[in-house]
Amino acid sequence: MVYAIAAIVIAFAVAIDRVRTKRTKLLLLAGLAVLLAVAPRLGGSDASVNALVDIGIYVVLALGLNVVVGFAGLLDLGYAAFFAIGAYTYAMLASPQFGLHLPFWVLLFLAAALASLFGIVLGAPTLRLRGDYLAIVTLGFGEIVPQVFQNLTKYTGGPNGIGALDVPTFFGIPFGQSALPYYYVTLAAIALTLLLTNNLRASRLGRAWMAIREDQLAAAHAGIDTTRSKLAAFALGASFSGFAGVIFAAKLSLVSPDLFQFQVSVLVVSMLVLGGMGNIPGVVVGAVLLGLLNGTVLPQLDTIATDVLHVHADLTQASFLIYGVILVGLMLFRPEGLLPDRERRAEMHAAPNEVV
Amino acid sequence: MGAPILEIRGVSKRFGKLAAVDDLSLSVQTGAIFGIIGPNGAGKSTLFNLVSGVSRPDSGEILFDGVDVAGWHSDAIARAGIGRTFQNLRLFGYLSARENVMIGGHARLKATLFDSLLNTPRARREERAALSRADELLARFDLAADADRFARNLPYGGQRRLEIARALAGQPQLLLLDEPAAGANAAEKRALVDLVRAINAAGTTVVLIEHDMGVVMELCHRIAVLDYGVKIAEGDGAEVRANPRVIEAYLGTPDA
Repeated sequence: MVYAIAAIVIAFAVAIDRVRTKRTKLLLLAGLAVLLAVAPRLGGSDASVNALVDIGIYVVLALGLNVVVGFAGLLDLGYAAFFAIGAYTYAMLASPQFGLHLPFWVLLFLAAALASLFGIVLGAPTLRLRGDYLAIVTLGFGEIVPQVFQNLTKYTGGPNGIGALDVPTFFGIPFGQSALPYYYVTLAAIALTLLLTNNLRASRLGRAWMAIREDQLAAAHAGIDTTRSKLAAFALGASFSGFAGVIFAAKLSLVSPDLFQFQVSVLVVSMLVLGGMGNIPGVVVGAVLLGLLNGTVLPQLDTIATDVLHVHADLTQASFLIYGVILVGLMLFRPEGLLPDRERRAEMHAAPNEVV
Repeated sequence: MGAPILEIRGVSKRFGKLAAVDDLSLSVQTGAIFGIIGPNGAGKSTLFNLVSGVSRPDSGEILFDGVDVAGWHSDAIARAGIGRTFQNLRLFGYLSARENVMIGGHARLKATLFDSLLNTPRARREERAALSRADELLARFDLAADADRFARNLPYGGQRRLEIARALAGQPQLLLLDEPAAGANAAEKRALVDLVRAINAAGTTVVLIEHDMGVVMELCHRIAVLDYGVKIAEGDGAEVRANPRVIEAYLGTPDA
């Protein structure tokens, strides 16, 4: 079922990317939403719904990071830090840890606000840096945040993290043990993220980001406050990550520092690269493909290896090798990603010595 | 003509030992077309960079509308009302011509972050207006047919015009044009002269760096001549042409 739904989403995303008129796009999107809404009713185990929620959370993360990397052109390699901040916000404010039990729905938005605040805290001193330097600083931030959660044992439970998080309720009805309520929450979160990031893309701020990405000096001469615009990208991108973190933590009912390691940031960046940076349907495709690979295909490879081939190989160890092969292949054959936007396609295919 | 819109007072800028601009003073009257000429390396573009905030002067004042903008960030200067083009064109190459112009109008739009995020009715209204303004400007610059093309794919002359259109989209009071006639043929120069006149007639003060003397003499009410970062002459076309120091700077000393 997971594969079927992933395939449907990808097919719709490609179609939405291809059709020209806004009306057809909206119709396709509405059709996809209906399909996804009824899908779990048509059968499928709780485990597969659970796997879909995980993929869905990655879709939100990828769309959020796309604001930073795809729209504004700022390479952020520490995006998981904001995810962690969102998750720990829920863990600390809705668990026996401090005896606080704030509602899930409030915390969704509080965590988004908090994450964006940290986005500003990280961005303010560092956004003067460009390209590689910014990437290194964000990478550092991504390492520091889980470390802080690990070492503030008194508040965060240290390496063991925080468990027994509150089960969210919907108008008094608890979510229970099933993954289904989280499925619908994630679906709604994706819809909201799609709406907001698509608004941004075609807005005054979105244009300012494109200008900064293309030529920062010329952008400034158009009256664009480049520092503020970049900060806005960081803060907004971070807020989606914080938002997703709350859903993630609530579903797992547990947070611990090892859930937010560097690999998570790399995986989300890889989704953008694979799908097509900046292009929303492309990003969704990238997130679904790699989310599927990460959550469903790789763990099954293990079982295939032991059950079918009778070899005891821990293929999860090989996951980085597999990502690596995919990304290298992509760089060789389709550097703009599977479903790129017009700009990147042209950029990647311009002859290097072409006279501008 | 009224008060000076731009007044440069004792501005210097050194790069290492080289004084690119050396204790320069000049004043541009509101409504004028002011020419800056001089041999290569005379400090003309450096002067534009100082006025538009690319770099800050080591000393001196740059008064725009009576306010010292020396050392301000480029974006603040642009918002204050100074637009410019670049000698080596700095278009957003992988954005469409229309997007280039719309970005030029950035500072004239009021949509806040939340308007952008939520696509509020206010933002939508403003976007529609910005779009039609951009298309008007493109039409005025004979670029209507190229609106959806990447800026980098326009012919050179089109790129030059697009850069002026982008600068004008910000509705500047003062427009700095850095060698707008570079690479233009006779017909294009003719069109450029008309265009700059029209821009000026619509109320924008223009400062023009240009090597093409025909264009300069035809357009400029007043001309300053720079050489090695120093102003060696200023006056109207006839005065400048007759000035022996100008002749020397351009042609060398008679016995050299």
